[in-house]
Amino acid sequence: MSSSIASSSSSSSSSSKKEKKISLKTSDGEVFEVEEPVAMQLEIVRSFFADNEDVTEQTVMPLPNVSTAAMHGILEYCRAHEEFRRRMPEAAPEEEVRAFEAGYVDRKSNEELKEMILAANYLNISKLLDFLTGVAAKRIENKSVEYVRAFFGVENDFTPEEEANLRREYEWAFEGVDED
Amino acid sequence: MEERIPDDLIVDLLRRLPKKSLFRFKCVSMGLQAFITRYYNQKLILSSPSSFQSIDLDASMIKKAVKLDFPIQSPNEFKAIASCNGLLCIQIKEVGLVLWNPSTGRYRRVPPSNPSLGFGFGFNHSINDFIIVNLIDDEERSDRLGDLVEVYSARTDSWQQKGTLPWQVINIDTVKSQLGFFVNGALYWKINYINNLDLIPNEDFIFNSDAAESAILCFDIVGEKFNVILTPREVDNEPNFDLGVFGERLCMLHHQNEGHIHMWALEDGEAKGMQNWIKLMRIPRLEDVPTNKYLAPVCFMSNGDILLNLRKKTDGIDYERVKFKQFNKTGCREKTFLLYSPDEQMYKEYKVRGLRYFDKEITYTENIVAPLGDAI
Repeated sequence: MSSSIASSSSSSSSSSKKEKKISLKTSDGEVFEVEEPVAMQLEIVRSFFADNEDVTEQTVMPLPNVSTAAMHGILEYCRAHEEFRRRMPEAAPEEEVRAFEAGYVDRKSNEELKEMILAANYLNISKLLDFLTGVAAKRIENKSVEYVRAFFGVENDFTPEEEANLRREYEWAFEGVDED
Repeated sequence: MEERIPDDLIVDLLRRLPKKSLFRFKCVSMGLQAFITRYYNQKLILSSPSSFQSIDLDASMIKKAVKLDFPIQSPNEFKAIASCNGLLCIQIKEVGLVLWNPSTGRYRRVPPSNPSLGFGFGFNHSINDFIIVNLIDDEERSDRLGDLVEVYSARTDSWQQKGTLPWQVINIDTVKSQLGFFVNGALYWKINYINNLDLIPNEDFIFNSDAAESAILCFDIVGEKFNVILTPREVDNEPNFDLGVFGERLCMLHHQNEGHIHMWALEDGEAKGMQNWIKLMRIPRLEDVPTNKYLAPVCFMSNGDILLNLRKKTDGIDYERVKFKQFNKTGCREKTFLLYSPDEQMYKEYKVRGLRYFDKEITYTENIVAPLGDAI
């Protein structure tokens, strides 16, 4: 499955004023042309280009663990942060960053959030990973056991008696839990 | 494609959750239960002069005391212990102070310090550094100047002098084999303190204990400042109190003559920098406490019960004034630990298997993300 976005973005890159771009290929074969300072926020990309002397501007780096959907999310975050950094190199405009981050995750479902966490982990973007993990923690903090099972994708492997015993023992921890 | 979140990310995520969520999520699956139990349980570390053991306080069902291997070979004589953010600080006779992480087994000997009136072990969160405060026992000290203070930083692995104690502090009470009490970024010690300046007649005045009262010395770790906190007015001039940390607050345990314990907590007042004492609870007398022992609150359990230890009366508290009733029953002589439930207002047994002799206890929570990495 070839992608039309990839070809259109590569043609536009030639017209942009000599800003260096880096080509990243997602698991489903789509190629993203990413501005260098944005791509360098991905530690895995930075070290790939730092460690390999024989890579050129034409090199397309394959990222087999990242889907196109996750890549869109990752780049949106990294581009926004690059923009903050460019505008205010000394200290990021904290309120703006917070407003952006809140809006950014509000639109994401739990599945999307999980996929982004896995991608940020693989790409080694510690700032984004830390942020997303915090968001995930907030999402499950006040939720039921069943909700968390679905969130982590784990099976209940307790016997009904074991689970009933645990629930009795930690009864106080089950007060005031949100509806799923 | 459904992929599972790797374990290290789950740990990082759980680390951000409050205790209540963690306990609820123990019911999610066996794997998550094992995680939470391993990394987030409150433990009790017990120490005798020659050994350590630990009890998992949040373990479901059976509680067991497990022996811990101390990395420095004997002969050791453990005099005092303190616990903070996953590290223990141990004072060993003729060895000095040692920092020890019982989860990893790593340790570090702290460089020698000046002679000490009392130590305190805590954490400076503004620079992620463990510190030890030494209230120096300076024989040359002039009564009007106050004792010198030095602070050890685990980052630089060195001691640095940091000013003096308020001169009115005349004695540090370290009888509890503890290295200060660390809570919310500050260290606390019980002290004798000259509050009433009228009692000082002239420059040749020599301190005598009649002029002093019991108070609490506080060291703000980030600000590196001392201040003195007086006891609640209701307990004025009462030396019969212990300090402790309960539910992330400094508490004063006031032993009543009748054997009840009044528990006071230090809370931030409405005005900035102001602190008030509030009476947290009253733990009623237990009937059959042997005359040579007393009940000492240790910590809150996760369900709000309070764990108590039957402790020997061997220290400086004026227990002549605490008259326990004598009973012939052997009832609680065998039980070392008890639980008191404030909700049900009753005592319960707290059985621990394999318990050996100990004379010091301290609560401890493992910290998998060691703030100093591999340094300790």
